[in-house]
Amino acid sequence: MKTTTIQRGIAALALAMLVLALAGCSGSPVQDPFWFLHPNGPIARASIFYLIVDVLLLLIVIVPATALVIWTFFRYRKGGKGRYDPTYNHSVIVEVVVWGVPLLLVVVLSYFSYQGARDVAPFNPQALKSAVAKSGNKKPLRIDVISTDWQWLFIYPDEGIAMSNRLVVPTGRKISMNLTSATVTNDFYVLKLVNQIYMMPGMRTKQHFFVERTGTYQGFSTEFSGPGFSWMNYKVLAVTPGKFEDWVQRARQSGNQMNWQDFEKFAQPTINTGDRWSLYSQVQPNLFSKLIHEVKAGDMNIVWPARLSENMTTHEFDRKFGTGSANSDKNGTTADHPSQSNSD
Amino acid sequence: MFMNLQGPWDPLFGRLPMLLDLQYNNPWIMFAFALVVLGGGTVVAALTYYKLWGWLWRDWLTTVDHKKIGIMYIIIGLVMLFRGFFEAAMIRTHQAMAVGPDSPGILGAAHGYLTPFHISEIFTVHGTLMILLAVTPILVGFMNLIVPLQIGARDMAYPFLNAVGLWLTAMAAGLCMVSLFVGSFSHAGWVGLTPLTELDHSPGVGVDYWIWILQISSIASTVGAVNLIATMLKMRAPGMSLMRMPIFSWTAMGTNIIALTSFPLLTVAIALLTLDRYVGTHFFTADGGGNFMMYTNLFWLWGHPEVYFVVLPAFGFISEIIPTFSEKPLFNHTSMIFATMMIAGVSWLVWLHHFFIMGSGPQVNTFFSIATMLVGIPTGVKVFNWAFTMFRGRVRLETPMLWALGSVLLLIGGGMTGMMLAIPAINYVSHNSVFVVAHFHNMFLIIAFAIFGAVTYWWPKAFGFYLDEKLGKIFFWLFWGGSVFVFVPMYALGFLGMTRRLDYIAHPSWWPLLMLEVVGIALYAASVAAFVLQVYVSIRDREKNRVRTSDAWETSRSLEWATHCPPPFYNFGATPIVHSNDEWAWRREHRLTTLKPENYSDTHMPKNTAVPIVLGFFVGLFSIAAVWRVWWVMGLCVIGMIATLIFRAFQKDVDYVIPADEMEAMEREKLDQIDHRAQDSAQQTGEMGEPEIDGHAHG
Repeated sequence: MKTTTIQRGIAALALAMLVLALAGCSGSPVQDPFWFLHPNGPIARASIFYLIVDVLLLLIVIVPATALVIWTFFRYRKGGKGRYDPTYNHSVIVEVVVWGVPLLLVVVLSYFSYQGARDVAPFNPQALKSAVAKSGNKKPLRIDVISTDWQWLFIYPDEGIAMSNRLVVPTGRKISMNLTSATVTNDFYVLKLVNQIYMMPGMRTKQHFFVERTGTYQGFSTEFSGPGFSWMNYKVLAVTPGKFEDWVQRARQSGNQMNWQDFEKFAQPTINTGDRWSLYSQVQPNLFSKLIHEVKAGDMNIVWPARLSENMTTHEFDRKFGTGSANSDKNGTTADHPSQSNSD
Repeated sequence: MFMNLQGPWDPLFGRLPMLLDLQYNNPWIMFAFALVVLGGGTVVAALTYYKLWGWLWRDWLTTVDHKKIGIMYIIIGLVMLFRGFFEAAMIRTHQAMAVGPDSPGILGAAHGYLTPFHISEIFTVHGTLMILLAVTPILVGFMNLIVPLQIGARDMAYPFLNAVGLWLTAMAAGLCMVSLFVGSFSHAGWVGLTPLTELDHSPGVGVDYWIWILQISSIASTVGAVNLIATMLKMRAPGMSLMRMPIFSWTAMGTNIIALTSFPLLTVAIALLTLDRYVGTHFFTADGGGNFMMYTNLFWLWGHPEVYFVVLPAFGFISEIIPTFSEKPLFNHTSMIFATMMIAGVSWLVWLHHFFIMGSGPQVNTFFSIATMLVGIPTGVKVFNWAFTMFRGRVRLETPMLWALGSVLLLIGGGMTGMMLAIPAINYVSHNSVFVVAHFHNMFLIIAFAIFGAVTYWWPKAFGFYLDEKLGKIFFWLFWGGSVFVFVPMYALGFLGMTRRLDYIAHPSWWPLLMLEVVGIALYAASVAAFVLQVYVSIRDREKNRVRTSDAWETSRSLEWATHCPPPFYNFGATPIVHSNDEWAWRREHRLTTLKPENYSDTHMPKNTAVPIVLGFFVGLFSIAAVWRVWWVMGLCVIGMIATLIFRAFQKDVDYVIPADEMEAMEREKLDQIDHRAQDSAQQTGEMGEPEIDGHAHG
């Protein structure tokens, strides 16, 4: 039996090393963005900080518990070295320790939990304060985010422009987002950059973030929202403020418009595959709040055809057959910003 | 009727004409169908060939015996566990196939072999049935089987209600099987993400199947909880104070208090959703003044207590197994009881941690974070007390102990990741990632390990012979290997940012880890084979592996070991009198292990009845009619249910009495058998020395 235990240990160790090796060399096409231990913004960094604190504190209990289970098991095997004493079945000292130490640990963790919750609170994150103060740029960039079935629309209300299925943001500036959904719940997440927040139909949530370095990040939804959910990936391009201004100027010349009628077309079920995006230079100013009102009033009438949600062998899901038509003809027509390979 | 339904509806057949449009050329469905027909057909053919239908009806289908009901619960659970494993294997292999834009797609899928709707169905049904139709019935089955024996009762407080609970659960499982072939299943996750489950986004019958499965099994759990609580409060043997109740019964108490208080919440939440879908109310819609986040709150107000509902009995199994195989009493017995009840108590205060990211402020989130972390304290206490139970013990590594120890080690890992997810700041980056999936599977594996430990531990009690030890160990190591290979890479993928419920994996760099998970699935498949083989070999060689005494493990501690293996239908020849926390260990110490009481008395027993299965039939038919909206059948079924209950209410001949002398005769026969078996085995081994044989004194 002893050999199998040792074998098991070796096997577990080998496996752990294999996993670490695989994780280490997982060179994703988009600048290895999928290792959330490398945060690129104050909020994501705060989360990782509390993750590390939490794990280190937990080890105070986890390590002795594991060691104790394994040690007693080997020491007190039948026929082993341990002294057998069946009367030892109660100890006040042990009881005080095993209740007391975890309790103290939870007290300490509670403090960090509250600090962490304040630091990354989506509506008013404390973690951003010092970064914003340092940057000297007090005026945040406002972005309204709308998820549809199954696309994204990012509206820049102050600039009067919008972009679908791709987000471009400047570095060194606080970004304030309002989020909602046109039909079902989605969950906004940009790995290493923006923490998660629900996007709910008929409701507005908020999220804030701050980008430190330029680069390409990966955004996606993490709340299951129907058949197109897996394809709701988009890229987040963080560019220097100067480049961002250039991009805004060029976006204003794209000539596409997004008013309510266009949006209703845009919001029809569309499985957006690949890396297709569009720019809109004229956006109806109150589109975001109008959407919330329409959804609440029940006028945002998007009913999924049964074929989208019931049929087993349909080709509706084939990436060649997107059902929407609102933006498919405009894909990539204004590719005048840091372009990326289409490889994912 | 009532709603603007997509697809045809007519008064006679409801939505059934929809089936004409469905495509039945999906090879997976065909394969599953063939498997079910083959399996079910074999059982039916065997029953007919050996002329066992009468026996099945008299001894099992109409029984109110808590042991048989418990065994039937466990069989339902194991069959569903098997089906759930198939779905897990499909999810894992599909995801390993559908990686990157260039991955091939077959059978109508763009990538992999399952279309988006189909894989959504599969993960939904996997979650729903693993939790509600596999783990829950198995645990309820064990509580049924063991609790009355542990507290020295004849049967449950309400044997009839017990059978009703069983047949409702069986109907829910049956409905789940029907949904596999007739129509479709919900695609909105086992939690039923609103507003995805509303008619606008789920126009078919899938969500309706899900609704009625949850509704029926929820009612079954509620009535089961009433029954078990009443049994434990009112039917304990003389001398057994509450604090002397064995630890598994205590966990059953905690679990059923949770069930009694939380399952009605699910009933209400699901009923409101049903109204939304059937008559067009707006409880959980985004429009019309509805609030779908209310559903999320209600669901998790049940859902999180449900998690502790399933984990507490598992802790109970571990707490029974470790002392037996350490040959020592459970360390800090009272403390363990308090830890159990504290977990049960805190379970109602933590539900919001399932949606920290909904947008609540830091104060609200911190409250639920701290409440969640509080659960870690009694859980930690349990782990330490189990370790101290082994401390200064004589640990024997028989199969049940192997499972229990594996379970404890898993608990340490799962507890650690649970405490990580309890911190909102961490949850904001890991919510809905496969890290969460790995965490709760880790927790459910604790339960699975404890369940298989319990199956091995109590099998000789329930059937009178041991499970094969060698195959049991092979089963354990394969299962352990499968768990490591599936869930260690899954934790890693969570850190890499992989989201749960994906149909298509956009990032090829994840492929190696996904392949490791497939290796794990292969090991799991081998472990399933080992388990089936173990059961088969053990049944084949049952005469060789007979239990010699009432105490199968020779160092067992609680009262269920103070009766025959298998226990007779009346459980105990005479009501036992309890002297200690660990009654059987106490009797062993005091050399009082004889099963022959001083005198026998008349024993009052419940009679078998067909009413529960008839009631179950009406409920099952009602729910199928409800799924397809055939209103007239639903109406007839309601009338049928009411009529059946009225019939039962007027039934007077529901019980009988075993006279003392008849009881004595039956007992003598069993005690003689034990003596014979003891002599036989003494002759065979030749060196039994002075065996601790029960009934030896009077032999």
